[in-house]
Amino acid sequence: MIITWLAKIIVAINSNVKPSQVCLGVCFALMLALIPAGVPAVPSANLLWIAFFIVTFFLKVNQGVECVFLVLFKLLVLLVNPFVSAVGYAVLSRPFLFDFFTALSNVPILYFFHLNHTLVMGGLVLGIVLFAPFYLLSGALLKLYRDSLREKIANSKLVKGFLKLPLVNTLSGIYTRAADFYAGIR
Amino acid sequence: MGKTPKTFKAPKLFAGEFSAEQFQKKFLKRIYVKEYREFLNKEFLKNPKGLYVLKPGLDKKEAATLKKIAKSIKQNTGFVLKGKLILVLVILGAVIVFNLLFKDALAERAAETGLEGVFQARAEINGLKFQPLRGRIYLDSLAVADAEKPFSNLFELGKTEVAVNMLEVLKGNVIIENIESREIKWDTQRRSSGALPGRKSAQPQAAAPTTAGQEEQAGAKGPAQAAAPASDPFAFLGKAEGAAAGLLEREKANLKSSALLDELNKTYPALADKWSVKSKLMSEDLKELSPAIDAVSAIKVDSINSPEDAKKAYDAIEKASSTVNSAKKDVDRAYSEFGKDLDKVKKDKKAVSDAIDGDFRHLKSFISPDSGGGSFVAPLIESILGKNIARIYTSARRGLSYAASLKPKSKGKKEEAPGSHTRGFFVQFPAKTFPKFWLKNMGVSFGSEKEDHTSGGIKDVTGEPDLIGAPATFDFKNVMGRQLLGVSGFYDGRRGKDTVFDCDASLKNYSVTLTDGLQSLGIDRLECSSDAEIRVSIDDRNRTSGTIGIALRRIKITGSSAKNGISSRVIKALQAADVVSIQAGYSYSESGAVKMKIKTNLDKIIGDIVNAAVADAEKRLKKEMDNLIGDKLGQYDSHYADLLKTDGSFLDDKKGVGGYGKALDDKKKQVDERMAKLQKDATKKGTKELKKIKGKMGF
Repeated sequence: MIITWLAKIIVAINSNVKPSQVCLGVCFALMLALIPAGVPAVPSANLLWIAFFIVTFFLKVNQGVECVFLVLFKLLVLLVNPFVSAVGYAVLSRPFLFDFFTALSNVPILYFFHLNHTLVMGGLVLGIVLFAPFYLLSGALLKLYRDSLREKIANSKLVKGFLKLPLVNTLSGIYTRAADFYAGIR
Repeated sequence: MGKTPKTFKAPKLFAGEFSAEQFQKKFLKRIYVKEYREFLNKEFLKNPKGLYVLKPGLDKKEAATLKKIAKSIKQNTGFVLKGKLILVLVILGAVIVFNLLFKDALAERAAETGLEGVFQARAEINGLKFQPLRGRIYLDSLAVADAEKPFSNLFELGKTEVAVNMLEVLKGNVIIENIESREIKWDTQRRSSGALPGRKSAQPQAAAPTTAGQEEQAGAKGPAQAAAPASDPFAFLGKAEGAAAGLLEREKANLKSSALLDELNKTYPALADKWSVKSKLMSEDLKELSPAIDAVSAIKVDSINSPEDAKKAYDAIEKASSTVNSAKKDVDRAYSEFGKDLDKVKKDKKAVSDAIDGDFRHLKSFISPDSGGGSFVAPLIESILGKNIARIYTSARRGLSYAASLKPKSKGKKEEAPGSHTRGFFVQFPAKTFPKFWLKNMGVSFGSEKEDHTSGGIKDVTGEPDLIGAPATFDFKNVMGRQLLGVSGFYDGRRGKDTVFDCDASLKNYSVTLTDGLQSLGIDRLECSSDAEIRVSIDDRNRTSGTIGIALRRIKITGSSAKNGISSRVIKALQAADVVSIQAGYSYSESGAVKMKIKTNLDKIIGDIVNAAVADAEKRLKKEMDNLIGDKLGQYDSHYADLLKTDGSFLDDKKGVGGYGKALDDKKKQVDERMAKLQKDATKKGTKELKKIKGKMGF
């Protein structure tokens, strides 16, 4: 699975994939990493997380990028959870937002979004705030790679030698078949 | 001729001519890899018109690269995966269409098949609405045939609904919006056979004149209505009726007056004789004083003219006084002793009177109702109602314990302290919180509304009533012909509520049959129509109180074998009464001590009859008691009269001796006055003579 995702990333950044698809993959991964999928002490899953996850299925978002970055961001978010929670609490405890959140709490389906949890609200706010910067940053990095670095790396002896390894050849074949199948059902 | 190299076809996307602007917009702008852009620029040439066209004679590698580029260009257009979206929309559309057109029909058929499999007979469901997202199943009617009697239905349901709040179910709460089934019937007729094809059916049966439900209800009525009191409420009437005859004989040994009279009649004769003799002797002694007194009386005071005469008179008086004083002392001493005995006799007289009164009261207690001076029917009703109220009380308390068990048990879960940002926490807003379990409405009815029917329902049943802000309510109604039974009330488990449970029951035109407990009245069976209003209320300290109002009408007594007068009079009075009303108020304390207050017109209806009967019995009793102690009392009165007579004799003697003393005192006084007069006259005469002598002598 991880190899498939890595292969997808390699394909995405090296092939003619639209940069926005890659950038959206990174941004949604950040959003999904910041928002907890489940809230401690609550049995049901977080519907907000599920909603975002489902949305990405209908958008042209690079799934491989999204999944790999989701894992990476998730690891990082564990370190900054107290900060995320603090941000959420800062938002939830704003007096002028009290009526708004009270009304929100009384909307039946929104209960399952757990918006009154500090990690959820903090993750959502940070996700929204960081969406645009991460989009632009990842786009710029991708452009830099494709325009300047890609050819150099592809032509380097290290990569060429690596690609000639039998295991890599086999994996490449597997990936190609998988990618074709994926494209077929897509 | 040389072999022409094989050319490959380019993708359709690149077929045709493109202006520079089109070439830029359609291709180059959608290519993000530098090599691909350079490749396209190389593959496209400008024709004489200045338009871009694909160069002819593509080799295999070029064609493959172009194919790959064309594919990526297609994939890079737009932001939405139209294929997936369309697929989901199609699925959603299919679900909606299925919901609208087939879901209910399929669910209906599936339910019918399931029921037919279970009951092995035809099942028919009409108007089924299956709404899984709303957690609701509704049907207009359901009929399941009886496999053994194909022209009868095993049971039928009218409008039926089960609705659960699905959102709350997802939260782990069970909120039942409604469970309702109306017009439940069984063993009803069918127009067509309910036998399943291929199954051997029994012969069609004639329509049953009554439904099994009606039979069951009728059967259920019997024991409930024939609830007979365990004790005989009119047993005391028999006591008044038969009254005194054996009673006096039986209680003879316990009568104090008889024993007392026996004792006094033993001691009084000797006492009377003793004082009678003493009194006679005293009288005779006094008679012996008469000569001395007569002698003194005979002294003529005017004839005393000398000191010698006076001395004689004084001596006679002195002698008589001495004798009289001695006699007086004897009389006083004797009367003093007699007085002591007389005081005892007078006390005995009061004791006799009290003993007779006490004995009569004792005997009367056997023939009088235990009315305590008030209503004598009330204690009897109290004993009957008491048992039923105790049952109501026990049932209500049991119901409360069931209700209390609905309350969720505290698991002692520790709430995470706010401020723990590592795992985050919930910031609470005043949102509506639902209880873990809440049965909003449950209703059921048996039979048709137009005919005899039974219906009932409960609302707002939950273990956390504070969260819903309402008490649990219930109601039950049973209509059978003119008979109506209604019960309604509430259980309020909310904090700070004074009344925890309250229930009103109402019965109209209910026929009551009493067969036991009336034998003393000679009644085998008492039937009547009754209306009743019963109220039970339990407060937060477990104190129970309530009222009971009963009105009995059209009392009909059959199989009466009343033999005695009172019973027949009471029966006539009961049958003639328009209404017998009983009002009771009762209360149970925290410890279970019961208090009851009863008001009834039965006192008025049969009270006069019973009171007259009791008065008659008392008269007879009095007469018999007089017969029993009359002789003894006569003897006692005679002895008492003798003693009083002796007292009179003593008093006469005292008076007589007193009269003697006074006569002597009077006579002495007269002699004293005579002596004083004589002395005065002598002094006057001496002075006159002295003056005469002085004159004669020349002084």
